Amino acid sequence: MSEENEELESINDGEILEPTESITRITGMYKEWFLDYASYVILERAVPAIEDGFKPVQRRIMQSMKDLDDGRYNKVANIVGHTMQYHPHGDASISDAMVQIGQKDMLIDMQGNWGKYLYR
Amino acid sequence: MAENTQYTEDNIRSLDWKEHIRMRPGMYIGKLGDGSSADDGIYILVKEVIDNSIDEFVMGSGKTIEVSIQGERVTVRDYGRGIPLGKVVDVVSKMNTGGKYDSRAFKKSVGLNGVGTKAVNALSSYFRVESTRDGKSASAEFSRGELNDQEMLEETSRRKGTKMTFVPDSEIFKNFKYRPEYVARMLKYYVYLNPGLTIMFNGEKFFSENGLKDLLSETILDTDRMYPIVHLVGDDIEVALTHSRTQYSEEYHSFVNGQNTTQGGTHLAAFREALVKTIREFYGKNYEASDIRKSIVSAIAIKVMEPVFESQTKTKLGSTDMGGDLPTVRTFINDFLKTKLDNYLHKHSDVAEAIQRKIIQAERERKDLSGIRKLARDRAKKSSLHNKKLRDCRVHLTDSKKENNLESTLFITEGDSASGSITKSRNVNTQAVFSLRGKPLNSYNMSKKIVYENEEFNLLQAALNIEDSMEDLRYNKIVIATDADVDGMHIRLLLITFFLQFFPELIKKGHIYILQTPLFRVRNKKETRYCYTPEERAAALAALGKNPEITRFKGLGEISPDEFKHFIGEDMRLDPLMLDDNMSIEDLLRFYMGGKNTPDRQEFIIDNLKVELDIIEEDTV
Repeated sequence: MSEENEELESINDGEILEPTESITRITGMYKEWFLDYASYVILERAVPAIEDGFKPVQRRIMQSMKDLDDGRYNKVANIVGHTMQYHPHGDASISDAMVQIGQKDMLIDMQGNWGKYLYR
Repeated sequence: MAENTQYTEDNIRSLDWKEHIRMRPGMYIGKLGDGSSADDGIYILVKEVIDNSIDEFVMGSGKTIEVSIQGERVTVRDYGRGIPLGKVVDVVSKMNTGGKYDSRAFKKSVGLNGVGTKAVNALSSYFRVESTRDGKSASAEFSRGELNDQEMLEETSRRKGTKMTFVPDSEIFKNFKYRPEYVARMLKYYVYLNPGLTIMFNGEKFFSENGLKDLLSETILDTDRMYPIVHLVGDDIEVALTHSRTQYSEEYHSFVNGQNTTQGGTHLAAFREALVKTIREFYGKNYEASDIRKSIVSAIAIKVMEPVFESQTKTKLGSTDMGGDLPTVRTFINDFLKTKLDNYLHKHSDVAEAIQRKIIQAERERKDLSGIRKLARDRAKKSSLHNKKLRDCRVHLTDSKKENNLESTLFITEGDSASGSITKSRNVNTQAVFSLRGKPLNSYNMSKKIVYENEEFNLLQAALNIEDSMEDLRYNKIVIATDADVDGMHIRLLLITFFLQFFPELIKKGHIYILQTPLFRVRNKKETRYCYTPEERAAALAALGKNPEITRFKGLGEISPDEFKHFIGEDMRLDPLMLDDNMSIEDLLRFYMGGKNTPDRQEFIIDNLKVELDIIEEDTV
């Protein structure tokens, strides 16, 4: 066996080992995707910030209500539409979030039916 | 209507051998591709060259083969007898020339048409062959099949053998890149099928003592085996099998004369049939065939004289006879299993018991499922007429008569807008679209029932046609095409979890890919560039000068159909999905997809949290 291996080294002589691109295996992919998603959910979606107690979507709604504020009532749909400038997701998620803030009856001066705050 | 085209003597052309190969590479090496899937042409080139070295090993000379791939340059060195020096040029550049026409031993090799190395030669921008024997050596250099240089050395200290070096022609293989993982897998198959052979690949050593038994021990962890691997060897046949604890599907690796027949064929069909028959006779009970084969993990290799394949790429065996005075493939395998497996089970009663337990368990599970299965099947019947989530294509993997069946692709898209764009810009012959709505279910730790209960999974299973076995898989490539945002990542996780859980074979056999789409489009009035990474974007910005328009594609729906053509056409960027060596699917899924947020996982997230801070542009402040 030993004589068979004589020339093993010689094949790469004088050649610089170029790193050949290799495939990311499944555990690597899982790790990356999982962390992308988990981090996003924690930082940008589900958890209120310690500074103001808002989730990002709520903060964006407040911002756009400030933008639109002219002393009169604004249509919900208008606020939702304006919020979409800041919030890169669907309109349904924004209006749901807005209804939730409204039902607390503290931050939004509401008119019309905003549904019932179930867990009071 | 008919245009007046001339058809005279001038129209009839005889192509030079290399012209022909270059014009119709598909006839010689299957499909072209860029190296992102394991059956792409550039791997076949390597295989053709190695095959010759393997034949030398089979003939008893040269126990070591060295393979090196440096970027685009491939070198294969064996220590066989070497090509007869006077014929070095002929063997690699004259069609239908070879030393394998007469010898009986070569009757059982795959490549015997004298075409392989010539095809490699013609399709390489650089090709060098060097043969050493009896202290003398001869070499020749080619470029696209043209002889450039030839040299004879009267005296050399080199050891006997052949060394071939080539660089695939980038005119034919556009943007190709070798993925070492695929080469490694190919080389592993070689050592499994040729026990005693050592292959060195870029310094890594491949060696197998136990043949197919080693193959199985690599594919299935020992904690997952119901019983130790059964390994049976006979003349011209080798079989290894065990049952898995966790895997639902049947898994087969089949080989004919050292060629991996990924689509099976007559030998595999015979093996499955013979297995059922032997086991039924052994226990004297008429178990259902699907119960016996459920969760089986097995490998079979046979040697057939002058095998006939159903397709050009030799992935499905068509021969019914073993050749010579041997019986048919079916009887041969049947007789072999009947004696050998039966004997084995009589000798090892513990294994026999384990198998019986597994079968009974499978039977029970099947009965549990039967009600819901019937319901689902009725629904599937309706959906096979009209699978509402599927926009099908014309050619499928199972159409082995059609030459582009290997190109059949299924895109699994997220949302209707993306699937609309793909549907509009796809190639209707080979590309199908399956559109998901929202996020699929997390299927971790669910029983197979869920595949029938959940409409989306059921339709997906029907679209792929893998309910009963992998053999009927309708698409060669299954491409997950989600947006490149975080929710897209989540959908990938969920989908792959589904495949890992219920159809791991799809991944093991390399059918699943991730589609890469560009994140940015940078364009000015003259030129448009698509960029897949921020680095590419920076480069494009530098190249296009002042004030280019930059668009960020947030989702696939934002790419218009005409543009999408570029991303799923010839230059499609696919990331193949590949399992790690020795990993446990179960552990992976439990950690990432398990229902409870374990302290471990919380730690893991906290330690690795990806924070993206907004970069404040200073000049605007």
